[in-house]
Amino acid sequence: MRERLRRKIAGSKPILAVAAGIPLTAKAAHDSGADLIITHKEAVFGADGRLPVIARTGYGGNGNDIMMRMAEKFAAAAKGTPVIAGVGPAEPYMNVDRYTDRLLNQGIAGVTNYPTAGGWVGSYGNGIRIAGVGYSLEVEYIKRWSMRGVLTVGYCFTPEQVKQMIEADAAILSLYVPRTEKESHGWDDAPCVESAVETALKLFETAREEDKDRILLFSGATISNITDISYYLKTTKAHGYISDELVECSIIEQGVVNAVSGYRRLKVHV
Amino acid sequence: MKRFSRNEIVDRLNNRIRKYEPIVVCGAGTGLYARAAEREKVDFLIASAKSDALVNGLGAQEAVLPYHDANHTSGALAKHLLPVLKDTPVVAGIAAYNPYIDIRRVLKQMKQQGFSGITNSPGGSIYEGPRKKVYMAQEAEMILTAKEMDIFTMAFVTSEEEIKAMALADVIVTQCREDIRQAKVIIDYQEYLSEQVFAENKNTILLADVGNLTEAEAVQELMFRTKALGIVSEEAVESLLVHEKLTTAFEEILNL
Repeated sequence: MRERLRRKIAGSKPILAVAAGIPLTAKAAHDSGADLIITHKEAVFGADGRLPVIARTGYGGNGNDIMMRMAEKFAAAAKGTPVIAGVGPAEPYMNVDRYTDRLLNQGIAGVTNYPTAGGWVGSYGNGIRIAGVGYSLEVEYIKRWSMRGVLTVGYCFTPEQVKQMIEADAAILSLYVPRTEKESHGWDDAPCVESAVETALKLFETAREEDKDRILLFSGATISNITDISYYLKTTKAHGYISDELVECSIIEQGVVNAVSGYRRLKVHV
Repeated sequence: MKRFSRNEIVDRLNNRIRKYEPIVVCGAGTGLYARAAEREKVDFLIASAKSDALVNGLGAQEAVLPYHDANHTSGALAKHLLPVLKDTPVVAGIAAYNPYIDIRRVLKQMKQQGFSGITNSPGGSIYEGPRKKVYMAQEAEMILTAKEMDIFTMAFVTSEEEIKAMALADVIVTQCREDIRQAKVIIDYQEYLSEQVFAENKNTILLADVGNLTEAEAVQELMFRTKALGIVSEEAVESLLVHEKLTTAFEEILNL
């Protein structure tokens, strides 16, 4: 898989990883020729009409259980396009490596640390970090599975995390472009576009300094159309883009709205 | 998470009819579908194994394959659809031909889960041979039992016998075989069915099944020819549109 992605990079085509919350999206990703499909609890929540961030709470079920339950359906719909599942290694009641073995047996091609504690800040984020059940566990997890030759994607939010994930040998790094004021959920500082790009560029610089050949994709960012994606691809010089649940959900919504509003305009026989 | 009585739903439909507005009924396989459909003022939603199959990237026909219990699948949609809706009833699709169900218990369960009505989807009409009659009888029994329990009912009908057997449903939906793709055949067949429905009871609230029709003009012709008061789309069209829009968007990114 790494080889395939490298060939694509050599041909200067962008890599596209699609976050999918329903298998129909995985199918569309496969049909469009996308390179990877990533599924995780946030995407599943988004496609179910819930605020994706609620996935970071314990409500609505254990993210790892949800991945296990959906794995076969996503793998079937993806028809051979690799599906990466978001695993939470802080799971306290089971052996996450044995769990991952089972997940891979269901047709999943790789793993990622999403939802992640990597973006958590403030005293809560610090508490998680000091307790040792946050990002450090995710790095160790990615390291173990990269060593076993499984395709891994590491989500990074700070230059320090970029170093850690490269050290862990994550095959692909997902470098986060902060969401801008247009789309804050009220907890981050909601920067303007320029400072969001600046923050992201630091991640890209760090990654290139550490390993100039690592596959770097950008994720996050406030994106409402293809021009935005093109802009972030150009400014970050990323090898590609991980579309997120916001992209998926707005398209699903448009599809349903178009269909139903079409029916609403029908005329009744008088 | 409002529950609706049978009368409330029928009143809603009659309101549309009085205003010469089409009745629009759609399937929903996730909360997002339900939300978007509610925003466009769908009259009620169907939660069925078919809507689940479509968001899983399968064909609607695959909903009846024996890899799951269709009633369990539609029941499981309750927690996905009901909490996000503010003012839209959800009708559960029940496979009445499941040999292990006690229909009264299933109906009670569906009501407890928060569904406001039931419909015979997936139906036994897709099967051929001697079992077909048995399945139809079971579906008719479900409609009658639901009626007795004052639960809103909608019946998909594909033949004259089914029309007679399920004539007491609150809403009748004419439906063509799922494997038929030609608009003309779909419309002709439903027109024939609608004549039978109106011959049985000219005051029936009749809806036409959009099925595989994707063109707006074809759906409009279906409405006129069947004299239907609205349409039912158990999601094939929405999912096709969603699939198409997603594919185009991803292709666009890949071509940057």
